[in-house]
Amino acid sequence: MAYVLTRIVSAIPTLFVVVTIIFFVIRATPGDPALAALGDNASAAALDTFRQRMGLYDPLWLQYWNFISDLAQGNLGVSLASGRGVNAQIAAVVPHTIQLTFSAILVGMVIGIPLGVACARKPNSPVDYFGRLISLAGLSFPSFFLAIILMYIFAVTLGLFPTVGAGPFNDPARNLYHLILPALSLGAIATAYITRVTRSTVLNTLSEDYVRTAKAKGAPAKRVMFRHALRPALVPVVSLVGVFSVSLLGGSVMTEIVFARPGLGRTMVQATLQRDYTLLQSCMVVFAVIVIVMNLITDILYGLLDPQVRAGR
Amino acid sequence: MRRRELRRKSSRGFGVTAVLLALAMVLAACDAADEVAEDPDAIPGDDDTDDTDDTDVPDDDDADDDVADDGERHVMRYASFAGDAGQIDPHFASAGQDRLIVGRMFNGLVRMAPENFAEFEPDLAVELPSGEVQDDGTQTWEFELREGVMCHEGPETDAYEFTAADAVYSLEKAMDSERSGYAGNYGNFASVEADGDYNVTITLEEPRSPSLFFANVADFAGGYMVCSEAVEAMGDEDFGNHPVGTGPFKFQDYVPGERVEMVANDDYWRGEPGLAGIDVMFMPDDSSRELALINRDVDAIFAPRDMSFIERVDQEDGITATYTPFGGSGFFAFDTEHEILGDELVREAIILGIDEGAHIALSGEGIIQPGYSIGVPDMGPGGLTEEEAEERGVLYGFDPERAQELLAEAGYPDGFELELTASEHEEYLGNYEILQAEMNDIGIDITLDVVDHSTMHATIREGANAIVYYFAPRPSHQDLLHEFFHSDSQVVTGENPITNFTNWGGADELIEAAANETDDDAQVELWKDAYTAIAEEKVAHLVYSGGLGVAWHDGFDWGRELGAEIESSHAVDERATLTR
Repeated sequence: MAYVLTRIVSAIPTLFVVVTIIFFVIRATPGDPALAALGDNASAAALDTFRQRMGLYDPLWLQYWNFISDLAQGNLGVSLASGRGVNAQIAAVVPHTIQLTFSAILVGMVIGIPLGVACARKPNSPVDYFGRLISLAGLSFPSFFLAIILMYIFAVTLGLFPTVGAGPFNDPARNLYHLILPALSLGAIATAYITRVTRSTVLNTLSEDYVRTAKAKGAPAKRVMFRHALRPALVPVVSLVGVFSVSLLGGSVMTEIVFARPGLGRTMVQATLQRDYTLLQSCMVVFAVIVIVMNLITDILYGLLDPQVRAGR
Repeated sequence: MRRRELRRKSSRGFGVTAVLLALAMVLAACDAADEVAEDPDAIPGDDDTDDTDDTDVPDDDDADDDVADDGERHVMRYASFAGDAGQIDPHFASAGQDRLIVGRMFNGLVRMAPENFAEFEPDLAVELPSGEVQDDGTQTWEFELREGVMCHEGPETDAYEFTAADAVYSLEKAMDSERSGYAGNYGNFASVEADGDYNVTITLEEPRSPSLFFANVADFAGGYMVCSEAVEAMGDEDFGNHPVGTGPFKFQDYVPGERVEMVANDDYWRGEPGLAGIDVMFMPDDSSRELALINRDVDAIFAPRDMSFIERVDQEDGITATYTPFGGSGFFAFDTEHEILGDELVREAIILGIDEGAHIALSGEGIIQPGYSIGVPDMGPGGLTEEEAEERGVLYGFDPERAQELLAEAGYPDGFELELTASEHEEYLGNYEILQAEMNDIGIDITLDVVDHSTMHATIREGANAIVYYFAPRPSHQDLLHEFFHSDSQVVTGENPITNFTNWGGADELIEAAANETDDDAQVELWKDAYTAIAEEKVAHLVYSGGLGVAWHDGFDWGRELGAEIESSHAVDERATLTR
């Protein structure tokens, strides 16, 4: 518990530094939020009024103070582009991004770990070549391209899935129906990485002395694989999943755009295009919080899995 | 022994979980696909009132469920090019997707004809009035409003009859720069007064022609009529989240990043809408929209300005893809005070070096058309035809050899170098790159600094580009001329800087005379004269006039002929119907 508390407390200054950098970097970006909000034929007077109303003429330090003090109270402000509250907007999209990311990780683990083990059991066999090919394809195909391919095959040609939107959370069947193609599309990358890492680590552990000893003592092949080789081999896989989930969170943007799903990444892109400082900085703050939390969870899990980490050794 | 069993169970559990997950996926696919196949309107989902979804994302087909009983009307899904909704307070809505949304929910006193935006017809007014010039030089316009027009019910208000008080309130809101992005359009409005419940009198400080005046009270920008009781009850901020108007469709819900839902206003004064509602879906990816239409996940889509896209989608079974005229012109504007382009010979050389055909080929002829003045005929009378341009001596051809001669005459026999900021926006970048190649052929070496679209807009407004490419859809020739060629609109130095990048005000008198001309025909001539002056002085050069693309499946019927549009999307109104 003390370990968890320490990690949480140490995350606070990290978050503060991150939000400060975010605030100033966004404002250093060229572009005019007033022009984006009011259109390219807005008069100078209209632009001027908009900037005054939205506090864009305030000194930067005052804007920063307002941002930090609102943030401390959990208020993310009002979108410059739409005039709507940012809290509600982000609360509506974040669950979809988290769901998509974890579904992709799940797809990666369900397919990648068995495939990696199968490859490692018989290296340079047809199974291994197949696994490596699948892995290479997953790494090579951009997720948006794969998304279009999957959409064409499974939605347009076979008519099994929809091409658009995210299903409601209160209807699990429908939610899953909308989730499968995006999750497979994004999960292909996770599958590729997890397959490769699993194959590599299992191959390494299979050559360890204790595995050789287990084999020499006559232990069945399955037991050697699953008890002696796979379990220790999974530790780096878990670590990879922790780090990779953060990467997938950012990488989900193209999948969200192609499948027209609401999501944090897509909202960030839109906010960037519109120079919607408030929405963009809020998205990035939420993104940073998620990353910090995920790293925290990974560290905690690591501590639970490996007593040496917990003991600080 | 016990531990080994547990481990085996755990190992089996992993496999079982994987199998169950796969099974669930297949079942979900089959289950939902079967439902769609049997009855697309009967997709299961809770009613909105029972929606307990903690992210408040409604079922795709909630609205369909609402009308499944009558078996006739369906919710139409339109896939917009936008990533999300912007401002949906009609007096702030400026982006194409936002205008598409507010246009379904609001009326004006008059409206731009759905089949041709350049023509006006009565909307909430019974008829188009005539302006009366008074002895004091002001001009009055008296509107008689329709009786029985109902405002939608809002979160804080019941439905009620729209009256002259609402019309006055709407225009006063549109004129207030704190409450409207279009207040600048109403500087000439002296007063707006109600006379009883159904009469409104608008007084202008200076007379205007019908076409210019009606543009400010039409169903566009500041001309949208809002329902005063709803706005007052909700406040401006909440009204911007839940607009309340008198149009054929009522606001229902906004799902961030996904869609805006509208439902039919069955009390609509033009008649009950043929659709149960409209969902405007935000789908910025062209391929996704195309596949979604083919898969019938949406009913109509915005098609990019690309003939290959339109021709490809049009070949799909049961799908029509086409384009209609759109009041948009794509042109290059030249900075007449630039150290090199300040020389008229250089500007003429650049114009002669531009091959319009190459720029048209960028999108494909059809949806893109050649034009002969900056304002194009699609915007209504006022643009020059080919014959008129020739008669006035402003029809420039593609003549790179003559261009090189002119450059030599201007003292640049070896050409010169130019740095331009270009947008990464496909259409903008394409035109800049073609220009780069064309200018290279006549000896002008252009270096492009490619930035994102928003940065480009900010940069060119700082007067940084000697040559600016702009695609400008505008509702009238007056707007186009004033914003791009009147010296008041000059970026950086103008009194009211907007988008004049030319540092030239040679047509100011003509543009002002056109604004004050009350006779439509005389006004058209003044616009043509202004375009002629722009061409004679080589201030800007049109490369094409752009159309507006759209595609829909055969179950959707617009209920009207598609015509010239100004909303960046084709308007769906009460006449549209949908069968599945």
